[in-house]
Order: sequence, then C-alpha cells, then structure tokens
Amino acid sequence: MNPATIHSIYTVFWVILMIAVVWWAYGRRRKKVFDEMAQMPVQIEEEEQRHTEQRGAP
Amino acid sequence: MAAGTQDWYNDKVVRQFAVMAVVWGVVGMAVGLFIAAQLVWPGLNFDTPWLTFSRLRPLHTNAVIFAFGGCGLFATSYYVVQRTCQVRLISDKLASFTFWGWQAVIVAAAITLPMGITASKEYAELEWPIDLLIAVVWICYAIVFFGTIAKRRQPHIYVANWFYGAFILTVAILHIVNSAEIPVSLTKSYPVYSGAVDAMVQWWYGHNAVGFFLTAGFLGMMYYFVPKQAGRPVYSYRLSIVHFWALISTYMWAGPHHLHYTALPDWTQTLGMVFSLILLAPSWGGMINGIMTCSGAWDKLRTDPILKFLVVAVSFYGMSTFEGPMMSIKTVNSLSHYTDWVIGHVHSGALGWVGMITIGSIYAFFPRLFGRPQLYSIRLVELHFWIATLGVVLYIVAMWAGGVMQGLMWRAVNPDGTLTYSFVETVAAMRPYYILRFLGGIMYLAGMIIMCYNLIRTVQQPHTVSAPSLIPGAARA
Repeated sequence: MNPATIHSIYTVFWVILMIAVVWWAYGRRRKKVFDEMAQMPVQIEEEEQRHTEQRGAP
Repeated sequence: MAAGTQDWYNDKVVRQFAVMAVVWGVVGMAVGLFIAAQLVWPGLNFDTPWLTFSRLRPLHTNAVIFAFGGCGLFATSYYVVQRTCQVRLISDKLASFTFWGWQAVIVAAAITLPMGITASKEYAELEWPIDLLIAVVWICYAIVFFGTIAKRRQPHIYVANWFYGAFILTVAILHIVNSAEIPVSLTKSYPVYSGAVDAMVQWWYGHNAVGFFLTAGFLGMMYYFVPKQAGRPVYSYRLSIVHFWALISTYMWAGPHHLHYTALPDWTQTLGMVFSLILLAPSWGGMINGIMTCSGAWDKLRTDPILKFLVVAVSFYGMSTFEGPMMSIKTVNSLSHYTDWVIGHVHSGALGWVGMITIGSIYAFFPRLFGRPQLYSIRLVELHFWIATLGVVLYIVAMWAGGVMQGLMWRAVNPDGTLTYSFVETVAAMRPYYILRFLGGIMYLAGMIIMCYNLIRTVQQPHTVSAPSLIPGAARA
C-alpha cells in the first residue's frame, strides 16, 4: 500500500469520524444531559461555598 | 478540623502540587531570564561549563514545561477530577508517590542538565535512568486519574476530564516511544532510531508534547476554571465535545512541520503542513467556547483580575494557534525557521496561554484549598496581571520583529550570488531585540514574585473555615 492509499483511507475515516461526533454531540436526545453538564463547575463551587459557610470556623 | 470532613477529597496532594508549581515557576523563569541576559552579555557564563547557555537552556525548558506546567496540571487535574466525579482519589499513597516521584524527577533534571548529561533530544533531554522514573510516575498518575474516574458517582464524565485524560494517556505513549534508547553507561544512551526516522519520532514527540502536554491538559483547566470564575455555564457543551475529538485526532499528524526542507520525505512534510492548517479549526472552536463562556458576565472582567488572567490566556491561545498554522506553511517556514520568530511564537503560547491559565487557576482555587476566606490582596493580583501582560507583549513583539529581520538578513544575497550579511552581523543586529526581550522577561518574573508574596500572605491569614473539601450531597448519603 503506497502513502496515497493510506492517506485516502485515513481521510475518509476522519471525515466519517467527524460527522459521527457532530451528530452525536448535537443529537436532540442528549441535549438535556449536556445542558446540565455545562452547569457543573458553577454548581460544584456554589455548593462547596454554601457548605463551607454553614460549617463556619472550626 | 472536624473529624470526617477532611476525608471527602484528597486536597493535600493538590496543595502540594499547587505550591510547587509556583516555586518551580519562579525558578524556571529565573533561569530563562538568566540565559536571555547571556544572549545580550555573553560574558555572563563566566567561562564556567555548567553556566553555559547550552546547558542552562534545557534546564529552563524542562523547568517551565515539566516542573511549573507539570505541577500545575497535576494539581488542577486532581482537584477537578475529584469534584466533577464526586469521589475522592482512589489511592492517597499512589497520589503522594506521584508528587514525590515528580519532584525527584525535577531535582534529578536540575542536577544532571547543568552537568552536561543529556540525551540531546529537545524537550526529552533527560537520560535513561530519569526516563524510567518518569515512566513509573506517569503510569501511577494514569492509575490514580483513571481509577478515580472509574469509581465516579456522577454518570457523565465532565469534558475537562476528557482533556486531562487525553493528556495523560498521550504523554505516556509519547514519552515511552521517544525514549526508547540503548544505555551504554549510567549517564549515556543512544536512541534505537537513526537518521530521518529518529528525527521524525523526535518531532512526533516534540509537537505532540505541545499538543497534549501544553494544550490538551491546559484546556482541561480552561473548561473548569473559566466557568467557575465567570459563574456561567460552558458556552456550548456540545461544541466542547466536537472540540475534543477534532483536536486530538488532528494534533497527532502535525509534527513534520518541524522538519520542513530537511531529509524527511517531501510528502511527510506536506502532510504535516496540511494537518497543521486544519488544526486552526478545532483550536479556534475551543478558544471561542472558552471566551464566550464569559457572555452574560462580561462586567466581571472589569473587577476580577483572576478572570482577566483566564480570558487573556485564552486570547493568547487563539493568537498562537493562528500563528502556528501560518508558520507551518512551507514558504513562510522558509523565512521563520531557525530564527527568533519561533522563540516569539513559543513564548506567546508559553507565557500567554500556559502561564496565564495556570496562574489564573491557582489564584482561583488557592484560598479555598487552604481554608482561607479570600486572597490576601486582589490589587496585587491586578498588578500581577498588568505587569505579566505587558511583559509578554514586550517579549513577543521584540522576538517577532527581530526574528523576521534575522530571517531576511540570512536570505539576502548580492547580485553575484554571495550572501549580503555574515552570520555575526545578524547576531549584532539582534542585540536591541534581545535587550527588549530581557526586559519583558524581568516583568513576567516580577509578576511571579508578586504572586508568591500574595499567596504566602494568604496562607498567613487565620483559618476561617475548616477543611475545604466535601462531596456534594455526601452528608445525606
């Protein structure tokens, strides 16, 4: 197999992979989970902050 | 400290790595400043072998990349993986081993490199006994990180962990493949590869060290600390998934752009160039995702210097990932390669992106990590931000202007075909630019020293809260 064939196969594979990833990421079914995930860092930090304030000084 | 609460998360190892990131940052940047001064005043090597540029330069690069950047990545990845998976690290002993093992690697580098013990591969200079230690520490890091993900209580794996995971896995493969060498004594080895294959393996390693160590890992930082500091959700979580897969499947192939116009086969060079150009798309997708996360919180940029650090870091990421693909174009590369333009490009990524995202993240989690109410002084963070930003700009502008001039002088020919300038004339012409670069370096280092002072005073404040760590909802469990 010469380099051109390998490149062709890889290019086709890569394009299919990218289309699959975009389809998966933008699928309607997964929207809710992803929207929740996007909130994660803020929620974690807020919850830690609240917890810390409740406990107060040692 | 209330019994039980400190058991939730292992933040001890995070604290250790965070402190050492700052310490090694100061050390590595000071060495960088010293060798920058040597380029202006060559007498500064004092005719001492272990103070020469050739030995201190790899010490500088190893210290800033693997000691400063590495400790920053260990600290933030352990912090983020525990919180986003809502579990403690799987093994405190193994986590502790990664800390002490990594410090041992850094100390060994700081001793052997000035002694002139080197494998002569850029960014992989350390000799085989240290390579073995790195491999062991790194595999333990992978076990701790992926083991923690495996026992997570949160079903979905947060995107930052994907980036950290890709960084850990890929660096393990890169290090082991590129360090395949045959020892001839305790301090000398030769690579198993030879000729153009050796060069290709080296730059497959070298560029993926940029792509996975200096990019993917720090993107993990971006995807946690930008939303945290802005108080806003990730702009598009779906884009972050596309960003991840596009970035990691493209980076692997960009290495040959380091070997344009060499003995490397021509088609390989072109392949490297094309993939480097494609890289612009995922890089900018990620950059836009990071910056747009601030939408709805732009006003915070006026008042919060920590957010300024993070956003300016992402902006520098955008700039250097535009410049990189451009420099990989063969005709542009024929001008830029081997000049100080490359040094300018690297430092726009290193000081601007890697440095500032790490500094911002450390400021962001430091007070809570040490159970203190807030940083000692936000105004000092503001001062650090401005002095660091101006320092980076001075540094990279000097190296761009100087580097382009250098490249043009090298390629200038007289009508009869002889070179217009001798090499030493180009060195003399660089002197003012080297002085400007040195000044930029002083400013960046001064910022790090301000940071040290601020963090020390932060820890000296009285404890106001007990152990910072908890698993959300754990009290109910």
